[in-house]
Amino acid sequence: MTDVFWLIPFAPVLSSLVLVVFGSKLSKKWVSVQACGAVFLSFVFALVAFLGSLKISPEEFPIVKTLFPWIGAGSFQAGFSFQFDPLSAVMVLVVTGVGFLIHLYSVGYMAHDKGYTRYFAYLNLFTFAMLILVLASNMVLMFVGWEGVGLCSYLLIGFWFEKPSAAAAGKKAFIVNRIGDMGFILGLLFILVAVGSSEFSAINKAIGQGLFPQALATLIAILLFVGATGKSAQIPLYVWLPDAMEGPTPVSALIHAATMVTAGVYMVARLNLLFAFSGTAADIVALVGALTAVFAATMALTQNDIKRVLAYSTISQLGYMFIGCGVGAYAAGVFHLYTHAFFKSLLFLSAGSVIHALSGQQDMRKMGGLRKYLPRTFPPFLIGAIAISGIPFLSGFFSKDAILTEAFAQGQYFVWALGLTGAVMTAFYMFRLIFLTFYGQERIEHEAKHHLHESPKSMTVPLAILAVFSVIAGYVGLPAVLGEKADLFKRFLEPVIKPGAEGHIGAGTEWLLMLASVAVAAVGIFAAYVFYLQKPGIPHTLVARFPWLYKLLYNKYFVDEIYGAVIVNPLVKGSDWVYGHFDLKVIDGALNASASATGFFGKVLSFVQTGFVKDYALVFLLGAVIFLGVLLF
Amino acid sequence: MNSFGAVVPLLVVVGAALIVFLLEAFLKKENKNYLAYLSLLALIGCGILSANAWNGGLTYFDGMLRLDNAALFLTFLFLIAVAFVILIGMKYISLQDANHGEFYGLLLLALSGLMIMVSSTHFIVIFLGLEVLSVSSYSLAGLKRKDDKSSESAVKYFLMGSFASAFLVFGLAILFGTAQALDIPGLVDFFKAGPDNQVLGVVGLGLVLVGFAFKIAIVPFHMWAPDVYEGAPTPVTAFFSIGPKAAGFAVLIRLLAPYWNAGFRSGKLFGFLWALAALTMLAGNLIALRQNNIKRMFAYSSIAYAGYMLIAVLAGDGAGLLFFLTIYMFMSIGAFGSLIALSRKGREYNELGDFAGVGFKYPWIGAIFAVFLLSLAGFPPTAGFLAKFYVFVAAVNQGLTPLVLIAVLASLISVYYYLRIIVYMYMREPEREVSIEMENPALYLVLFLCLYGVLQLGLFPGNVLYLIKQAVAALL
Amino acid sequence: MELVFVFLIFGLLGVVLLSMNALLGPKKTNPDKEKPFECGSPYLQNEIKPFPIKFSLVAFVFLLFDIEVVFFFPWALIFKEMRGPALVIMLAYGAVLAAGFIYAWKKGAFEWD
Repeated sequence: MTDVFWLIPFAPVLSSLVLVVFGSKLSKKWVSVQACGAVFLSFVFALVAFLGSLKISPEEFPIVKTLFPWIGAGSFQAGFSFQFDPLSAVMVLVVTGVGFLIHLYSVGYMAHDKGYTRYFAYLNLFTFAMLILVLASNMVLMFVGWEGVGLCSYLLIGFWFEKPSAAAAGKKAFIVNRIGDMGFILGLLFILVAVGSSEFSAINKAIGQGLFPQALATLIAILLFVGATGKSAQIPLYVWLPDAMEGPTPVSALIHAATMVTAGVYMVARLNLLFAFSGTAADIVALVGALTAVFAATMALTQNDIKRVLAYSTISQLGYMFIGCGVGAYAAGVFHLYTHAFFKSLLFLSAGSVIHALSGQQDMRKMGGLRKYLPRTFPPFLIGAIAISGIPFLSGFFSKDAILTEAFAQGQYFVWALGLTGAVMTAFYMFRLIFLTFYGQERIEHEAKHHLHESPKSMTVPLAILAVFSVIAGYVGLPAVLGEKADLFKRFLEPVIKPGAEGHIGAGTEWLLMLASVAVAAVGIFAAYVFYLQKPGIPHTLVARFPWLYKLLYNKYFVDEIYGAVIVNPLVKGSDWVYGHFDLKVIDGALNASASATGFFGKVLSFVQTGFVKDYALVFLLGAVIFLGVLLF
Repeated sequence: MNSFGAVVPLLVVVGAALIVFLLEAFLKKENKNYLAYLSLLALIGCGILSANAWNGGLTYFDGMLRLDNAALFLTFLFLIAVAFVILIGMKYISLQDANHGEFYGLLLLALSGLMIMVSSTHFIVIFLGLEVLSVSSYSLAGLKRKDDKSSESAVKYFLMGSFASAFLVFGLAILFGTAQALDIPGLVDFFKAGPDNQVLGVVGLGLVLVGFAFKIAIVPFHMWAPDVYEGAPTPVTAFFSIGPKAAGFAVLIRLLAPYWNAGFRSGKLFGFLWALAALTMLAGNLIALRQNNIKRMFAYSSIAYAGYMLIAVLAGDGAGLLFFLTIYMFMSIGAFGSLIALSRKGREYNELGDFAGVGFKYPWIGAIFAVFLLSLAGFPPTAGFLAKFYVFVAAVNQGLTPLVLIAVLASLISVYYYLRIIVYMYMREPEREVSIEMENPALYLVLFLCLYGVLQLGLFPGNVLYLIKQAVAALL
Repeated sequence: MELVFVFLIFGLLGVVLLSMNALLGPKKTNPDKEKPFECGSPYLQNEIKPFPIKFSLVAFVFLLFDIEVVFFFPWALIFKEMRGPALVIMLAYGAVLAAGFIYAWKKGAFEWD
């Protein structure tokens, strides 16, 4: 049954093709049915493959299916081949499952957009590329998916390209990602040089046999991680993600929260042997992850745009995933990826519902008291917020706790402390968002209030489903204290992620750690309650007391400005100079000269072409005589 | 293995040609399309028979006819090319007042000539095939009987073709006189043996090469090509651009690759062909720059392409040559097909100015045409890039780096005139009203298939390369 | 090498003789002398006179059957050795010619006006 897995990516790409070619002839209804149906079909295939894989013994993974030989240049071979193993299973289920719900949601959300068909064509193309990325059995094909999702992300961020800010955001995302891809390509080339193949199995084998030195492994791992920081929005390349919120909200949910941005995490988990072998690289991953987790959380504290809060929150949560991977708890990292996909897309979609209800208003200062107007949006939103804050019994708690416990157990106390700090802030900004949006006094503008309405069924039903999963998804990965076999998720992933030397800590310590994370979450929520409901004056007092701090946070540490001043501006100035002095004068001059020279030769040569057969024959004869002459003398 | 099966594919084609001629004499004018269907059926039959012969190594007529894999691969190529030409021509010939069933019959005969040329290593048989091909080609060029340019093209082709054939036959006679053999292995043995009688032998070889250089349009034996290409009906031009060229190169590489291996790689013949390749690429592309008639521009472009293919011959790279020819077939037929798409009753649009703004008025045709042009210019990820890439790499490995440098330079020049058409299509205001007939499903099928071929071969050439690997074993 | 010398010597000889002729010969010319000369026809005609294309059509068809006759001779010589296959081959050859003949007939190649 698992054999059907190679079919998974094809339904979306077919649908996308149909939409591109015949889109203008299809009615809106058929566009929706066809687009959603394709993703659902993929989901069914993924489910069948997953259920089939449960019965397969771990040694048989990965199952590889080569569709056709693709590149053959000398000794280098890369097939168009897919592989299926538990890690890809998790990824395809998340991509197609969450993807399907988001498709459904989009039917309602995008209903009045004139680019409806184009939207679904891009979205399905994205799904295809993402599935290629997670199913590829070699890094070259993975790179195709990697670039494909980047392209679709660019197209979808700039979906409303008439809006200059959206076009600029799309460009920014593309360029920043390109910097990361540079690292990825270099890493890929080094792997090809060192291993001679880019198949994951070959890479893992080469590491197992110790075919290349540790220093090289570290270099490759760091280069690849640079790629991951681009795609997964980590320091220093996270700057594109907040701007990416210019795209339609379902896109933010699917691409910039649930799936594409986790590609970096997936890649690190996929190459866990490499990162583990290097050691140094793993430490860097953990550190960058932890710093990002805290750094992004601080920025989320002061944002007023509801989607931007969630964007920074996503960056922060991705940081947690990298902490997990960096401290060797790859399973925990992937586990967080999986739970995060549910609750973060839930949060985004609910935020979308709120925005939809308020006719496009995204500023939280112009919301408030929406609880009673949006009875079907509020509960899912709340569940998502609780889940991400790390309150026990919801999915976010289990995954975040698994990561932090493992960090502590590995002796990475600094990383652990950072993670815990981030957790406080997570709880705080999430509930700040809840309180500002749904509680307190109404600050809605008159015009928006006039149109205020709950969203249609096709939007609220996916919310409900995602809310259910946000609650229960965590129970497949219970903490170790509840029994050695409680962590089903980790055991499922074992064929891919070999259990390493785990730090052992006593059950008591583990309970204490758990208590600590619950406590910090509670503190965060309580603080938000005091700040924004009980004594709304406090934030203003704080701003008045520490204006520089507020300004720093509100302006996102001026990172965009610094990048602009240090990197972008000099580049633009420099290229202007080169254009003016070198391009126009030297290159164009040389080009013009050579162009007129070529034109001259062309003129001379076509002069011979008189149109008379006798001249043709003469030239022919001359050629033959010279030919024979050369041969003989 | 000696088997009558080696002749059967050929018989099917020739038989179909005869039937087409007979029916043409009896059929009414509005039923001419049946001839096209009949021809296509024959092509399919021939294709199936040839496919069965794959890896069979069938021979007949005492080894004079030899269906090795290389011959079969090229036969497939020709079958596809002729099928495409028939499909793009069906509507065209009735629109352009050339609705003669002879179009199909002559194409089939030309095809049989091509098949004979590639399935033999004996020069008498090769010459026979060449003449069958040539005589059919002369008539095909003049198919638009009331069009001056078409008649001019036919007469010029005929005169120059006979001129070249004379050289070829004279060369063969001298070769036979000195070497006492006309089959390629025999000739190679003769040249290997030593310098006795070599002078005359080399003269004969030289004359034979001149004859073939005419067929494949190598500078300075290329002068006929622009006039013939421009005047001939466009589907026929598409056929000329690939059929005779591919067969000529197949014979050349069969003849020359063993010759190089026999130690003549540093000799004068090699040096002269080297110079001709360089001259062909440069002259073809340079003159193409100045053309405003697109058919004429493509004629020069195909001359330049002959230069690239000559590199493959010089490098002895059979696989590269076959791959190049396969890709060139798709690009070239696609490009000429796009030209046909932009024609209407009694009129063709071939001037550069006609293409101004076409990209917006007919977005689909414009986009497809642009892909073919990009492929011809050699941009990745189209197949045109891979074709040149493989040949150039093989040539560098054989130490032909200076020639490859010239080739790259020449391709750079060519980018200019290919892109110029795209610029006209997308960045110029239309100069005059171009209106075309859109009802032509057969043509669009071919355009689509060529597009598919160009992209498939550019992105996933694996399967075709696998076939070529099998074919090439027989070639060298 | 001898061959080379042969070409060289005779080629040079031709050049020398021709140029000597031009150099040494008397150059007395008058307009009549400069006119091109062709035996039996006036030297100036306005155009090539058309002649009926029918002639060439008939010539073509004649040529076909003429060549068939030429092929019959060697065929007759080896007929005794080959027997059956030889007959089949000649019949096939005849069939092709017959097809051409029917085609030419139907297309009106023999209608004289």
